[in-house]
Amino acid sequence: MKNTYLARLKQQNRRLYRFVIAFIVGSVLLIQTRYTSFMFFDLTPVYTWGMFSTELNPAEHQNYTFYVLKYDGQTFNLPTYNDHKKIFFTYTILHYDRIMGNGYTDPANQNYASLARKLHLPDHYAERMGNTPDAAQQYPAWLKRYMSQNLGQPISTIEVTRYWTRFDEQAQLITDSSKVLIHE
Amino acid sequence: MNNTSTSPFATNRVIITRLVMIHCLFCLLLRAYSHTLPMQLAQPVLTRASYNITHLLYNISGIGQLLTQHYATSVFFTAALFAVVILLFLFPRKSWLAIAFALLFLLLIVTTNVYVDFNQHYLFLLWIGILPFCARRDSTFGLLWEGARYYACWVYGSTFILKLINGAMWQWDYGIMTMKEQIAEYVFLNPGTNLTALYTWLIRHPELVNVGQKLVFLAEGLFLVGFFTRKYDRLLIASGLIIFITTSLFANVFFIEQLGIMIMLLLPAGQWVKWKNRFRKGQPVVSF
Repeated sequence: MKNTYLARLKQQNRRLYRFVIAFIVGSVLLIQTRYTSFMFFDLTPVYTWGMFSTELNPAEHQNYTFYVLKYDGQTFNLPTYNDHKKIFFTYTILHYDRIMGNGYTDPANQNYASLARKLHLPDHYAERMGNTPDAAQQYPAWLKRYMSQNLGQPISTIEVTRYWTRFDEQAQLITDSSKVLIHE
Repeated sequence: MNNTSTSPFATNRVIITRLVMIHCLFCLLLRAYSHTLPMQLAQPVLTRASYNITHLLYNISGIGQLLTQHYATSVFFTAALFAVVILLFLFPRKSWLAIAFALLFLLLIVTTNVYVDFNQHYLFLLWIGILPFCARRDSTFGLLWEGARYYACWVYGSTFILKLINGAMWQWDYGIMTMKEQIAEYVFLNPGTNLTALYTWLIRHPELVNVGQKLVFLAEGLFLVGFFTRKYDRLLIASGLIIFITTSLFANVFFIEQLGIMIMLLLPAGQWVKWKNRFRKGQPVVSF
């Protein structure tokens, strides 16, 4: 037991040992905070590794939605190893859709306002944490600007379409409907 | 201090630092190529901070405005990031350079998380892997490097534990349900490719996907063994590779930053000694 990592750490650097113990205890105790009803964010400063861990409701996983981005009529379609080049489209479009669907009001704003109230912080702190309707409405113009920089060429139009799909009995992908979200 | 209990990694600090910095430089260049550095974001307008305390504080502080909305500061930040990683490669024992890099890299992670509207968890293991270089003494570095290895085991091990607690492990159809969701976009955009044909075949054989995903879950769980022994670290590296390949194939993600540092953290001390000696034969070691 004397040669275990923690024993050696305690022997050689007591301050570091205390820090590591606090980090371990904190990480273990706070790992599930996001999954409690009273928290909307993790209490740990670093990530908790719970992705793809919760049980799924089969009824909610029969249809699959995704977004297709086109620039000047061409589809933006890159292989997986180019994932980094896509991330600023993949996730921001989803975020924009959520906000747009809520009348250009960020659904998280109410969480931020509630948190600021609980901590007795001034209102502008909550505003800084979230997004204003004005910022959300600027998103299509930003997307076009960023797309142009990312591809290194001027772009006349961009179009983002949301698709609702499902797989049929023969494992073929069927498109049920689609909706143009952005045409800029 | 008992010399026999000194970390075997303490004497390999220079080679470990340099290889990790090469990996960091690769990751930064990948981001530069992908247009995801703060100076390349074309003044983003949407943010998302509801991941954890760090991101909420970041948004309140207004640092994001400084790093993404003003071209001069964003260029300075990016230049500093590249300069520090190169300097740390050249001067691997300068702990103040490592502290500066850890702070700048954390800022990069949080900035891109906030503006990409997604928590890039795969960058945090790399950040944890940088922290040992902040130690002034080699013995402390060795202990921290060993500790970071335990954190790598925690990353995968806790993922497995949470799957047990939150139910994914016990849901038989979980594999096929998540796979269909993740690949639908690819199949839509790439009809007629071999990969689409493979996905179609697998959807027709869901039992294979379900078994396969449970095996990948178990590969994550294998990392819990790493808390008790270093004997199976090469097996853990193989498990990490399997997890990386399967998530690339079936979830369309490319967590190369996490894979690189995970492999380096799990390498045995003997492997670093071998590389150090091979490097020495080729050229004299410069001591800074």
